[in-house]
Amino acid sequence: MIVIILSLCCNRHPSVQYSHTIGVTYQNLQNEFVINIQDAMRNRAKELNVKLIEVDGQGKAENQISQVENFLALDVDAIILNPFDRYGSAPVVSIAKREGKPIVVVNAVVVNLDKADAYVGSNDQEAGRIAATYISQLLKGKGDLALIRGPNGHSAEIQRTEGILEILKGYPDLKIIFDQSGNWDRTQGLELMENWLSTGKPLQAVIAQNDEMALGAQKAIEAAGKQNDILVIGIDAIPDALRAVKDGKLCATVFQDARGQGILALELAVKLSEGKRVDHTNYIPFQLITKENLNK
Amino acid sequence: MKQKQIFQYLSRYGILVAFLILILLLSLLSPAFLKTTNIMNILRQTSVNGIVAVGMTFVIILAGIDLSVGSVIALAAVIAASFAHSGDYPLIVPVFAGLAVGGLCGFLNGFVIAKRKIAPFIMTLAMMTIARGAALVYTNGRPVIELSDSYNKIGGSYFLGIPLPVIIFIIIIFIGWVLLSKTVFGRHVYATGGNTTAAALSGIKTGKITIWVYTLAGILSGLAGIVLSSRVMSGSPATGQGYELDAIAAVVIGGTRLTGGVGTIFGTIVGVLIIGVMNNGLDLLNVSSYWQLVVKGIIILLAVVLEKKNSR
Repeated sequence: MIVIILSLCCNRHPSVQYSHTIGVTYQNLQNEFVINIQDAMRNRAKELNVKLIEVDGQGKAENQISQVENFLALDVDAIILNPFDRYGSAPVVSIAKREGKPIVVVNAVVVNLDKADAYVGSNDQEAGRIAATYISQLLKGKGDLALIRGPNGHSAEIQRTEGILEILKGYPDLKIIFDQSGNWDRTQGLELMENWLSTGKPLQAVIAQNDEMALGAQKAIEAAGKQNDILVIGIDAIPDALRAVKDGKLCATVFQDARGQGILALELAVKLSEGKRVDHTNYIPFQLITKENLNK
Repeated sequence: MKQKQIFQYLSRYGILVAFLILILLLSLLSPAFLKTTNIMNILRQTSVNGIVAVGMTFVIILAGIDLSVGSVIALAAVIAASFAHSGDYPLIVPVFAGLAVGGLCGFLNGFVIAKRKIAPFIMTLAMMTIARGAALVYTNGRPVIELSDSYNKIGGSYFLGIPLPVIIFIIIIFIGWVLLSKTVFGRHVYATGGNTTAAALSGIKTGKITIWVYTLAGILSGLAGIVLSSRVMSGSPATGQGYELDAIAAVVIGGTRLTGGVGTIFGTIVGVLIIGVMNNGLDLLNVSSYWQLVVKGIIILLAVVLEKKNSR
């Protein structure tokens, strides 16, 4: 019986010769955006005949550290790190470099990023700047805003907030009157907005640091019949948000190219394991998506 | 017996006083607090936690605990949502699927706890992981979107000016209260939770009671998952995290003892409302999210200390 099962298993993968083996540790595979990076990386790996060993850090830096130690034991050709924690995941880079393994950091950053061989990502401050700039244009530099942040201390929350505040500094008549964390969660965005609306303070726009929270806030606004009075903008461009932009429910979202990040990270890792030189910092730009440019 | 009743009234009184003080404070601090729309907000926002907390009350009176609530909410939400695309099935199908999934998880919890004598903490901890994993496997980690209008109405519509989730919550309160206070089943739950051995000796089928209680809690988690996913118009496998803790907090604030045998649905409702009023009030006052965590913890602690003092 066991022999049959084993032979079945082996037959499913008829001794494929892979060109390279690359270990990837993801920050958290319960996040749709990270799953999109994973999909892109998997597809590109298949095309390049690369074997991927994938593990999920499950939102804990310490998991990523032990996972990369396992990668070294498996003697992979290169490592791709999608760090969860700016500080906590940094030892992953040190461990890999101590053993002389090429390492590519993707999507989020670590403090010792300069020690890694390459970085592929998007600058989250830019996403914040794009969202805040668009809102300030639509409001002609005057109005009261609500800000819904990601989880306190998350690197994207910190950087997106910095970008947003940097732009708003230039518009003294644009004021943030409500400011809370919605933990990337749609229900929390919805409930925050319901509570803010019931204070009766007039609001002109909501900047949410991801689409899930933007969609939650939008639902509360629509339920209160204020969809024509309050603008809502999100970040990420998930499918649900693109539909909402099309229907005019969100005024815009900011597209972060998960696919582009995944593909480039994998290609760089392959090049590095072949001993080729690559650029250290590779930014994939954000894009503002409005009703007008949606179909492109 | 009479003395015990007095104590019980006192403990109810204590928690009510805490609740009224909180309301008084918030209505002084925020003019928006007592407006009808805001009160409807609070009730709607508490309904999901409330539905879960009613089930949790039964479980804790039984001297058990259910840590799987949040994950079962997520599993029921994604499975119900996957049957709720417009034009696929009539509304009854996703609703039934969600309740059935919740009930099945609860039944498994109860069955293993009763028959294999596994500690509820361990069994429901295992279920917490299994159900979360199953929700992720089922959806590939992505939220289920594009749900039908009729499904979205469960969480989004009104009946006689009252949000539908609130009506569902009220119905669940009524059923829970009748089951616990007016039936033989309820008396057996108290007896089993107070002293399992004595209950078994007096002829109560404690195993059966345990299975039923966890199944009930599971069905209510399933219902909560349906309401939640309908409210946000998407079934996310990451939803419901931490809901078990809010439910346990509500039940304990409401005077139900973690050691079993003592507790009321009424107390749980006050506990649920205290948590809901607190979340809402801190948002209205725009208290920073860092401080919100600190304040919430202190209020929960104060409420329980006040309750303890009065029940002595």
